[in-house]
Amino acid sequence: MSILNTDKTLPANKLIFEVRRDAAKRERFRSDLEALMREYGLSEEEKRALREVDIRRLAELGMHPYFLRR
Amino acid sequence: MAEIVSVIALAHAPGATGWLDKAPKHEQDELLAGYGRMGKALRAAQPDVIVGVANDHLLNFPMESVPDWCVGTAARWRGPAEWFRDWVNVPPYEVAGNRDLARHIVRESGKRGFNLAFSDALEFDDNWSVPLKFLTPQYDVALVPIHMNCVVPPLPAPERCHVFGQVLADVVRAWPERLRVAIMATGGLSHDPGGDRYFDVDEKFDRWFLELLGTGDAGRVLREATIERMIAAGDGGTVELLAWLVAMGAAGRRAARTDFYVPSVALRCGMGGVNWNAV
Repeated sequence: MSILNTDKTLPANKLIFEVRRDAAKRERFRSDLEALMREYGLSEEEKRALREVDIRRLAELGMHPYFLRR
Repeated sequence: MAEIVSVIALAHAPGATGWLDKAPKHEQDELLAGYGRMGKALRAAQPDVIVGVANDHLLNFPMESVPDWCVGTAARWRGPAEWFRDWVNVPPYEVAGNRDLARHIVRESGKRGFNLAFSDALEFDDNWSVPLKFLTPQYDVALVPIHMNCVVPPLPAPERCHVFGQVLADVVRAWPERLRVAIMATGGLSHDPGGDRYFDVDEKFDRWFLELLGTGDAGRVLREATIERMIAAGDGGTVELLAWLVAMGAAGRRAARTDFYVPSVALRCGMGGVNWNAV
């Protein structure tokens, strides 16, 4: 897990960035995750990893380490 | 002509305000004394404005568009960001900006090869909330915040950071009115937020880095304090020291003196601060 592995084009990075900044999206992250992931265009593998909080896999896919905590 | 009255760099890790009581008593005492000394010296220099440089913790810039540096041009700032308020445990505060100086920095740096972003709407987290709480707790010194990219590759190289610091000092001095300006980098030292070394502090690296800055040999600092070495000492956190290299550039040929260093596992960060104010 390193910042150097970050894929800044990964849709899941955009999703978490906006969830952190926006309380309404944070609520949807809890209550309506599937629709939210569809809207941001996550791949099936990203969706699975995020759904299952598979931190290792998310890191491999290029999620930024800052988004893998809390 | 503006005058640069102080150049400093210091850690901003949120444990300092968020969970200081979890640290051993001697660490708390040393940290508070260190920040206290730095605050006293800064206020004694009587700056009208602090130009700050610090990592943006992926709070303000979507990954589509991460600038190396973004100058805050608002006339007034509020912190901490809602997302971060509980964690950093700093009550809401307001501090003046300096819109004219910020715009001047953007314009004039542009003529010197630095295409700086600018924004009236930066959100603050620990990057400013922690240092201001200790250094200017009355929030009575204006702040021009410069958020920088220390964590989304590609990162600005150490040499680039150093040159930016030199340019920043030059354009600040070229400000036509009388103004006392402090340059303040925040971030570091070794820490790895959320990463493999989260509960570890690389004291050896930190002491090496502080000693290196103390040589005043910028060329050697830039050769030896590489991004790779910073990352090895704590991924995603230690690289905030790139902001310190901006301050080193702004300081010119002076050597840094260490004000304090507290390797605090409880705060999950090598906490420390330096100044380049010795003549």
